[in-house]
Order: sequence, then C-alpha cells, then structure tokens
Amino acid sequence: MSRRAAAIGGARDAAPIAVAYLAVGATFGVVARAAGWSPWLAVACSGAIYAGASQFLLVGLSAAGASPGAALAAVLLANLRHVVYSSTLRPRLARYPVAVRLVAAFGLTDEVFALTAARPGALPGPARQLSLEASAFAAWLGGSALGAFAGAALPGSWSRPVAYALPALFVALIVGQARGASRVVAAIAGGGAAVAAAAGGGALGRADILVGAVVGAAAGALWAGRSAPRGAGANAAGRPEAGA
Amino acid sequence: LPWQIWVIAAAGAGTYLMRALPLVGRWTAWQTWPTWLGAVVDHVTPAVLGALLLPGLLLPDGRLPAHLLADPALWALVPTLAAALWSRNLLATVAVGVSAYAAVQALTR
Repeated sequence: MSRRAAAIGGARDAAPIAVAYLAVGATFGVVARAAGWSPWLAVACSGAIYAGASQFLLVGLSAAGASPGAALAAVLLANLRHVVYSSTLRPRLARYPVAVRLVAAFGLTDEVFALTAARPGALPGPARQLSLEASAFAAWLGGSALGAFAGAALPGSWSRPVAYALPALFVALIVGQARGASRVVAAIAGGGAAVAAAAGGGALGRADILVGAVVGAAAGALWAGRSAPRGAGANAAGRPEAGA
Repeated sequence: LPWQIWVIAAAGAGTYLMRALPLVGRWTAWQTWPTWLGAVVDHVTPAVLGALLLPGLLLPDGRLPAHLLADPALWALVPTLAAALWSRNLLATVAVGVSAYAAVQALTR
C-alpha cells in the first residue's frame, strides 16, 4: 500500500473516533474556561495529557481548590489503566519497530486502544496505524481549541448528541468483539464492576475503568477456562503459545 | 505561570510513560507469560469496552440520576444496538446512534 493510501485509510479508520473527539474536546475546552483556565492552558492540557476523563477530573479538582499534589495523584491513578492497555497490545504492536511503538504509544487513548485491540487479524502497517492515531489526536486538539477559544459561540444543543458517538462506537466494538460467551461475560462483568466502582466513589471510583478491566478480564478468563479446561489456545491477540 | 501547567506537564509525562513502557520494556516479555495470564489478557478488550460503556450510560454525572429513563442515552441505545448487529459497521452505527440521540432529545424536550 502506498503511503498516501495508508494515510487515507488511517484517517477513515479514525472517523468514528474523530467525530466524537471534536464534540467531547470542545466540551472540555468550554468546561476548562468555565473553571477559570486560559484557552492556552486548556489546549496544553489536551496536547500533553490526551486522556479525556482524567482531564475533566483535573479541571474539576483545580476548580474545587485541590492541592497540586492531590490533583496529580488523581490524574495518574485515573490513567493507570493505560499500563493494562499497552501490555495487552504489546504482542500485536511487536511487529512495529521500537521507534514506531514509542510514537504510537502517545496516541493510545481508550478509544484508539479499543479500536486497535478489536481489529480482526494482524494490525496494518505503521503508516496506517500512525495516521489513525494522528487523525484522532488532531480532532481532540482541534475540538479542545474550538471549545476553549470559541466556546461561547457554539450552540449548546449539538454537543450531547455528537458526543453520543463514543457510546455508539463502544456498542459497535462490543458487537464486533462478541465471539464466544466468555467475551460477553467479560464485557458484562467489566461494565458492572466499573459501575459499582464509580458509584462507590473514592480512589476506586477514579480508577473505575481499571477496576472493570481487571475484574471483567478475570471473569472472562475464568469462564473460558471452565468451558474449555484444556485451553484450546485460540487467542485473538495472535499470541504464539506461551512456551513454559 | 499557574500551578496547573506543572501538573499538566507531570501528568502528561506520567501518562505517556504508562502507555509507552509496556510496549518496549523487557519486563513485559510476553512470550514467557503463563497460560492463565494469556487468557486474562485475551479478555481485556471486551472487559474494557464494557467498562467504558456502562458507567457513562448509567451514571452520566458520576451518580445514578433521579430520572434515568428521561435520559436520551438509554433510549438511543436500542436503535444503536440494532444498527451495530445489522450493519457490523462502525461509522454506520455511530451515525445511527448520534441521529437517534438527537431525535430523542428533540422529542422529549
């Protein structure tokens, strides 16, 4: 595939994410301004952290008068799930050179991870993957700038429907992923555990997705082990059998 | 400079390291993972998808709303799920979901 075709293909892969990132990014820009941040601070936050939920958390804590240390700890705790994401993707990304992996790592948001991990078969070449990630990042940064600099001019009724692109994307990815009962079990258990953690609040509540990832993945693995005790070795990650 | 800029810089560096180190470090030499860990890792993706979807639907502001059934997000889920099952296409599902949400929002206002 030519570079040009790879770039276009990656941008097309990213389209469902980019639509939502424009809306959610714009919402972030508006919320950050409302909390007293300068537009540039809001854009810097989107450019440096690039993890939506934790950015909203940081704005909220800063508006509530939290100390810098507490704010930093909360953001890092909320983002700890990325260690699980990258560890999960490691076997699939192993085909890229280390330099490509180091660049691709920056763009592994929840949605880019989900799209990449749910893609059937081997990953595309580095150019297409990096184009996907660059398109999503451009939408997030552009949306944040739009909200931060021009938020007052945006109509209030459009952002919620467009932001619904994210749950719709998750529904589509779950349906595409749901091969076998153990994966459905993992999705339901993960969702339930995340809801329980979020409703409970506190440190677990800030790490709700991490809690859901761990509990759901364990439940799915237990289910798979019960129904196929010999472990048929079928794994979507394309992982060669673990040699003992 | 406001203190937030330092927190943003540190949080950005920390988040990047959490994303990057497992992709290059030796400690994740995945060929030597025990079988059970491989089975867990194989189920991380659906578990994360469930964890990303459900709290946003059921706890829109971090808590159970007083009128959950008045939230367009739940009603829009029905046509979105139908579109996902029928089309098996990400962009088509997203288009149906966003349109359905906008329609329900307009109808219930």
